[in-house]
Amino acid sequence: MEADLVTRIANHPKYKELKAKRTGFGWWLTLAMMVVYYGFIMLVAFNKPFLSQRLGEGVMTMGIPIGFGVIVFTVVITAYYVNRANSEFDELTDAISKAVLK
Amino acid sequence: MSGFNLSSNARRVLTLATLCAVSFAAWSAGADLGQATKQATNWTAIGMFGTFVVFTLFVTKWAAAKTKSASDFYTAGGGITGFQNGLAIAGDYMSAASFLGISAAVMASGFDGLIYSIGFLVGWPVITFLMAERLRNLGKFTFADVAAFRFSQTPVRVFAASGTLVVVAFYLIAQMVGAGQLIKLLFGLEYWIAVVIVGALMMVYVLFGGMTATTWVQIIKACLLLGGASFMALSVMWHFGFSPEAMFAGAVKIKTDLALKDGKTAEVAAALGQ
Repeated sequence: MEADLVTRIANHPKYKELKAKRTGFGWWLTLAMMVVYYGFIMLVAFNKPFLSQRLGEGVMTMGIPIGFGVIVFTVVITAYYVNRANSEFDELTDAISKAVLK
Repeated sequence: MSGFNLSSNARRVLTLATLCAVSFAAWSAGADLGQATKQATNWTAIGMFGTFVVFTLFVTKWAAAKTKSASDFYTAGGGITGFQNGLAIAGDYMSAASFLGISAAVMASGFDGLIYSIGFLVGWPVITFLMAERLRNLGKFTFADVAAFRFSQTPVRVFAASGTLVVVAFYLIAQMVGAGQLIKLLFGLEYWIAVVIVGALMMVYVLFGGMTATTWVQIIKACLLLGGASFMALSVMWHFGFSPEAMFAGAVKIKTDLALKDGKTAEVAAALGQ
């Protein structure tokens, strides 16, 4: 019975769609996060003068807004993921369980 | 829940191992190696801390009364909403480090301090993107449960338990040294007493209250930290007329003055101040 259920879920077209979409989406967002983070760390490692430029006349350097930008990016990208997971992916999951358990 | 199939014996061994890890951490935190000077016994601070501890112990008692099954113990019987759980995870994540340590690190080493706070933020979304939903959809308690669902149980569980205990023990050592130093600094208690109190409290919360108590204590902590940090940030920004530029200039000035007081020349002091 349970093995049967597993095959039915695994063969359901919507399950395949969900799996492909969600995995791809997760990896793309991970990639974006990695590019931003390692880009930032590379800047710190290899281009210090760029980050220590003064902004205008004051003491604040270029690095501060860029650093805060990385933090804000993290929050925004997470919000984007949560938003899509709660709407699109959850709808697909519901549709699959309805179709399979019927 | 069918996912939970550890025998009660194995569970007892795990609990025992956890206790050993905590005692090991407490023992390793043993020698007082901090710089914090012991203050005169501060009864106001002890009173506030005591009130908070009594309050959270009541939360634990309430939670212990509700905890009746493995599912209650490990997942609060599924009775935690997403928002509550989010707050609790935030409470875990925002340790005293983000409250005191990171701001101090930014003050002491400027931009280098900011890199720390970015570094440990970045790991979280990646876990969310790749792991979180699979865990939820399988309805298991821990990552080890998920791995054991697919692979041979015993080696996976032994590996996961060893990894968890090693990481947790070393994390606990740092946490308990920090908590011990903080209590010593605030209350003027002996260091070893501070470490023993903190260790005993942690064990009481988790062993008796399970996930319900742990979650609620974390939620309370998250609200206190968020409230306190927002209040401090707003007050500081208000003091500098909501201009980050003025705030950084103020910080640089304080550091320059401190270096001058140490007997450094004006140029060296100005360079250190930045």
